Amino acid sequence: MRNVLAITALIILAGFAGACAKMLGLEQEKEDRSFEHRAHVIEGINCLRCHAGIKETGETGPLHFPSTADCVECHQDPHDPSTCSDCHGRARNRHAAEMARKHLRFSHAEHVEAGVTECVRCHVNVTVDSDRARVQHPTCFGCHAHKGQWDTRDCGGCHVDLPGEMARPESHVIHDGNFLREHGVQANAQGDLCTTCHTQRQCAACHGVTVPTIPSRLKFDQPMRDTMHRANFISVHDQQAAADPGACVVCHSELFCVDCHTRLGISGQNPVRGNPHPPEWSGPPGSSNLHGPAARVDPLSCASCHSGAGEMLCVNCHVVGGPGGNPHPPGFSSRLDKVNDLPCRLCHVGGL
Amino acid sequence: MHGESSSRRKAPEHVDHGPKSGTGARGKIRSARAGWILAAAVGLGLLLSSQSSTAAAQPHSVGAELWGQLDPNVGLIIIEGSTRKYPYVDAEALIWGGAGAPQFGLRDNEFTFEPLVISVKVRDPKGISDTRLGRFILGTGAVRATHLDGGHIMLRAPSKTHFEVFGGVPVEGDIEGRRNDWMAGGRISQGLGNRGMLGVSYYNRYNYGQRSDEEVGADFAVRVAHWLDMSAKFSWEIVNPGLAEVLGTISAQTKNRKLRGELFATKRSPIRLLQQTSLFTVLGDPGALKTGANLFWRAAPRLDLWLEGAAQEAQDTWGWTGFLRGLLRTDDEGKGSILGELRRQQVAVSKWTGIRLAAVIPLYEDHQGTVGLMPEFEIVIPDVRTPETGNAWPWGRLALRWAHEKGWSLAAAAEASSNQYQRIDVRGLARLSYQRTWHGKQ
Repeated sequence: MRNVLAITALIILAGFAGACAKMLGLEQEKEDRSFEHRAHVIEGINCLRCHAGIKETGETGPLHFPSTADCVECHQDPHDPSTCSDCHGRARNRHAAEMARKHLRFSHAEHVEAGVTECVRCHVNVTVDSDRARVQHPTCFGCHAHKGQWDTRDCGGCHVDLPGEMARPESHVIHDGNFLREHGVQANAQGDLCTTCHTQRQCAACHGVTVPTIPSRLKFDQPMRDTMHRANFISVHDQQAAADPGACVVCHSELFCVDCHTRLGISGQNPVRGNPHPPEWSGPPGSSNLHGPAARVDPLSCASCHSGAGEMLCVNCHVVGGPGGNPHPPGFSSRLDKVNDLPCRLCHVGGL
Repeated sequence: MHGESSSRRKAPEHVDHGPKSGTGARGKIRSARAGWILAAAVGLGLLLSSQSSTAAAQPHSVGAELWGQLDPNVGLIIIEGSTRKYPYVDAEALIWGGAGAPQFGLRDNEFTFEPLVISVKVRDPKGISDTRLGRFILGTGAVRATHLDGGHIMLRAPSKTHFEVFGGVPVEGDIEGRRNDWMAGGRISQGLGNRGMLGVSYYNRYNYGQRSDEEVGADFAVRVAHWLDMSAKFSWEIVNPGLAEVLGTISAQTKNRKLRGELFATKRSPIRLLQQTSLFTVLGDPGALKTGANLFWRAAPRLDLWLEGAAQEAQDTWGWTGFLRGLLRTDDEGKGSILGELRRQQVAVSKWTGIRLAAVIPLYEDHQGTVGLMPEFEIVIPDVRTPETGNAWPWGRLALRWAHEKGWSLAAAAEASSNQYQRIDVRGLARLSYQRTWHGKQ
């Protein structure tokens, strides 16, 4: 009985593992693999036997990939009735070729006219690694003097529409990991590299601070999109601001907070609102005056309601000779003009 | 943005920090209206005229995108165009419109338009110079991303030395409040072979005619090895001397990109990031340091996992934050997917746990279009729960989208939430968009 249970459990476990493997893509429905270019080359089969007509191809037209009918001319007894390209050749490589045909300025015919008649002169990898059959930049640059364009990110000579071509960037501009956090420092250091693919609209979607075009609102049908202000951000925005002081003001001014808080009737400038602060928040010298330490550990929290005209509230007390005393920390210095510039002149009347 | 705004902020003693406000004047609406009509006419013209064009040998491209959404009632028109005839020119416009949206301070019979981007970039074919003029986002060197009306010029020397100058009026606040608000600066950077860039920069900014920011900074981004990248930037405030911001990141990935790890650190001085015309800058700087690590792992062909943890300083205390996220694609092409995320934050007064679930479910597909369903749910459970704030803040949305291969897309959603501000909020959203690019090969 115990053995039967164990076997049953094993069968269920195996079934579950199989289902998981399929779900995770470990066992793919159509398991494609690199095309066996090398084997064909060794057999001495000319490239044009399968890619007939490629030499006459200009910048547009078909891809000249072999069809199943082409394959069975030689492989007369196929081992599977399915379409050959379902398994032989990576779907992603075919897709990349389709994108290149659509968005890359390239003509096989012009190369042939220029005397480049050997396919492997450019497609060097087909004899060793069919996964990388597409020609790489160094091969192009071996004949074409594009170093200047490369250095100046002038890709438009060949890549008509780089974003449309969906060519993935290399190395330090891979948009993996938490690129939302990483992208800022990358863009500040080499922004012109970013602009080879990205236009201003993508920056403005988040950094155009005057109106909300944030992707989580306008592209609400793309829930996988990562964005700084996700849907439902409003419920934790105050906690986020408190947890990461300064992060908000990188893009928003403190008056951005005041605007919204005033509109909703929760700012210090709204005359009908109740006082949100606890007792003993402020009082005469000698009392608890909780607002002082609170302001020093999180001044931006105060600024989110009391900025602008609300700052006058502070200088009622924190003025030279006033009960609030000097609010400057030890070592404070500033290049502002005490007489004329804000905020100095609020307290230092006459430059005192 | 819009609203009644600027006069409200004109306090006694003319304490006006308007330039950084998010509100705008009515007059601006009238002036923007002509721009909107012109842009719409140009867009329509392009749409109609380009219908007859073919993918012929043209070194030009034009793209157009139209968005309209209900609740809030907002829309976007996006037009992009480029030509590779001498000189290279790229032009783009992104214009936002809103009507009767109380969220943006607009009453029922009010509407407004706001150009977010209207810029032209001219580049000589040899790539020696890039000049961008108009309204755009500027972010280079020490300058944090700034919405600007102005210009940006880059000159490239053969030695891979780049010279940049920029200047203009920050796009925040109304016309009145932006008087005498301007910024200017520059950057010199040096290419490090094909491995990255190293730069130093300077900028200053005036707010209502008074110095509000003056920063110098340095930055670099380097690919040390094919598997190792580093980048960092720091900026130093000169008006109120001290470190304003430091960001650094080191990442490494395996050759097959299945595994990527990153170490990062950020240090900010909140009072130096504020414009120095704010009274709050005279208070002591609490500082904010965050450092942690992030790991990305493609655990299976269809399964991606992210794990992040960081120690964080805020309000003179230390805490931590982290999340675990998983994305499972339900097919090889990634048309369908399921996302799950667990997040925890325990920093200063910010203590909460969040769970987020989302999915993209393809319902129908043929050669002309697709239909998909996108449910999304999130719940935030704060540590401090009171009857006023509630025990949990759930949020959910169910969206349905039809996308046509010609570029049309229609989406609708129902959204409901409850949080400490609103006991219950239910709304419907709808969006119609059209996206298309016409281009050809030379």
